[in-house]
Amino acid sequence: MVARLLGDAIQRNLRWYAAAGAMLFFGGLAETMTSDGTSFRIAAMLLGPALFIGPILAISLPAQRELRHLPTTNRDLWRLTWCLATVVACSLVFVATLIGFSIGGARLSIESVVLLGLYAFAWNGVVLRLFVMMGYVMNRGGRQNAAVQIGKVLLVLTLLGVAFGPPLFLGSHLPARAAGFTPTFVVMLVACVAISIGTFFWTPQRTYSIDKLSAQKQLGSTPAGPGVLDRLTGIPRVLIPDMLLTIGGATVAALVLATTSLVAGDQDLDFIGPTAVMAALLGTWTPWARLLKVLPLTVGQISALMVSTQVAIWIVLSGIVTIVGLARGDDRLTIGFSLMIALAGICAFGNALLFRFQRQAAAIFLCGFITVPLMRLAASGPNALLVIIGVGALCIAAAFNKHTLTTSSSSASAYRKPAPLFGQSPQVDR
Amino acid sequence: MADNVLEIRGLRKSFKSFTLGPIDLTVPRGAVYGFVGPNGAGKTTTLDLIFGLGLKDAGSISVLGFDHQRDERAMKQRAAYVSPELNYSPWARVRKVVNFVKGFYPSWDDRYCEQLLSDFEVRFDDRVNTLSFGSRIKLSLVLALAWRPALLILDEPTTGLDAISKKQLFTEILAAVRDETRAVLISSHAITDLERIADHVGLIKQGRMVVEGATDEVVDRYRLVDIASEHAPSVEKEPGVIVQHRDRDRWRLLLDQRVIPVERLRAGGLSLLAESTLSLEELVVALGRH
Repeated sequence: MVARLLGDAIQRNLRWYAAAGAMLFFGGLAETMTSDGTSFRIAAMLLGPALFIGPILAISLPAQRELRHLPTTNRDLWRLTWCLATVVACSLVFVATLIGFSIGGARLSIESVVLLGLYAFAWNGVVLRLFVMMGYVMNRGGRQNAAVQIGKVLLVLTLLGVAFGPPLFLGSHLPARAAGFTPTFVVMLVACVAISIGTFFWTPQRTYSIDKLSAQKQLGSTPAGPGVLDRLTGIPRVLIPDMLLTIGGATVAALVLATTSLVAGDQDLDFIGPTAVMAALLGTWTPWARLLKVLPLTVGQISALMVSTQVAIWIVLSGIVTIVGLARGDDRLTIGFSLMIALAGICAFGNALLFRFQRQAAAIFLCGFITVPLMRLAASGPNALLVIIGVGALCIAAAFNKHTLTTSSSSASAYRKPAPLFGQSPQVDR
Repeated sequence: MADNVLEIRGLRKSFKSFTLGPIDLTVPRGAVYGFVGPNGAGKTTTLDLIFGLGLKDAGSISVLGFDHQRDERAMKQRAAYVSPELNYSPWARVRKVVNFVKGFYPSWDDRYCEQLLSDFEVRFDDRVNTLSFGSRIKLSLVLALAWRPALLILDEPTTGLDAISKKQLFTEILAAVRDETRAVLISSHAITDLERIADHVGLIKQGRMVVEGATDEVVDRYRLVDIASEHAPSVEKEPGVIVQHRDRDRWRLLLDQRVIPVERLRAGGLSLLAESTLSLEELVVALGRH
């Protein structure tokens, strides 16, 4: 039964495995060229795709209604999720990097490939567990006023920082040989492997539809008292809470990642890439698009709202980064006006793609990877070029959004309900 | 062989602001059971709990004697579920969905599946994403019917279906119970349609089962009576009486004859102006009033 489900899931995700496999291959190739043979230099490039093809792809499976009505048990579905998140993902890491290492030269041995696979297995298992915790937080029932909502988002973003921070910023400290293990590292690795394996033997509680829970809440006889935001009416009621949530979410994400980055001794603003991804994903207007479309707003206004949200996010973020930099007495830690516009433009474009196609992965890839050359350009290139790139991207994003809003029919991807970010929607009201 | 295909006893599930149950529900072998009630009454929650979507707080659910949690797989190999909420678009094409789903059911009938797809005008090569809303429900129906489940559970199956498809659906439902060994449970708001095919009915309201039984008996059990009275009639607050309407000295009451027969009103000296039976839809509306 699980084998059949596994085969089906792999087949359905084949294009993502191919994309991640290619990245892992080139990452492996690049690793052999840059590594000194004792530690990994760009392990983030290798562990990042592993996280994507692992827990991120797998986590929504157990909540899929179509699978839950088949003759499968809760346990079957969890075994499937675990296999996809750990075994399948780390096998792909192993095979793709092995080929990359083999072609790239002999500086890294088979031992390094095995260790990388082990790191992927251990961390993917830990992240899978974290994702289930995020599901618990995100889908927690009960009173849902603004403070609770913001608290939930902050907690989820902190968990996200814990999940994605270490591979991104501590990757270069990972030993490429067992001889380089320190006692502390061994303890941490064993703990992660234990959690990863332990996750297999554990099964999360049965899931329950989020929509159902919220529907029941609406029907209930004990409504929550009005919060501050509930005093708003009309269009501000729709716009302001999500604007605050979006900017607040991106801000916390940046702070969490910046802290991890600084703790790891990284002072090159490397956290900007992941933050850009967050900003694009947190452009929360997409789930609201259908509602916005029926409100007395023009297509141009909705499009402008989507784009300006990204600009607002980056204005706030650049301010935060500058304050952190001043506090540290590090004048390199700033996001200038030109870089800010460029990043806002890229994120707005990523968000426009996300809105049109509802493909989170496409937005992640685009925003994550365009920011790398953008940062290089910011370090050496002319500011005017960055401004041109940023303004150009903002204009393209606005036009793209406008086109989507004008041409998409009601059944188009743009108006479809997006899948829950963390598919686990546990039974929480008991 | 168990007499009942589905037995729910004392099922209870509490949310922060809504409590389902305790509910008892029995679907006998060979029955078409109409599960009706207003929006938010708990119909879909009950069906979800049968399939383990969410944990129940108390009670038991068994399908052909199989406990829905302990024997989850065996239970699901006998019960099929159809709902507009099922979305098979991740499988891209109809053929892929069919090939995937059929592997789970040893009793899958390829010929029957092809015939159903043809009847419902859904092609193997169709992309699931491009199917209309109605066609997606038809696909969901085909996937449930093609392995001839012992219990077919349908949650709002007629939503979005045209008149011809609706007729086809009812034909298939009746064919499914023709041999008297299988059963169908339909949750629907299309009560007029249900009344034609459902031989058993259960009415749920605010999480509680109000009435359950053979459709004829349930409908026959209630009477609508018009009485004339200057003041509130003495029976107004008695169990089994629901005041439907008052127009000055005219009162319309719904009587549960098992609790309070019409004769008792006459014997009590009330002046009965009219007495009538109700259709299932009228009964559901009348019981839903209070």
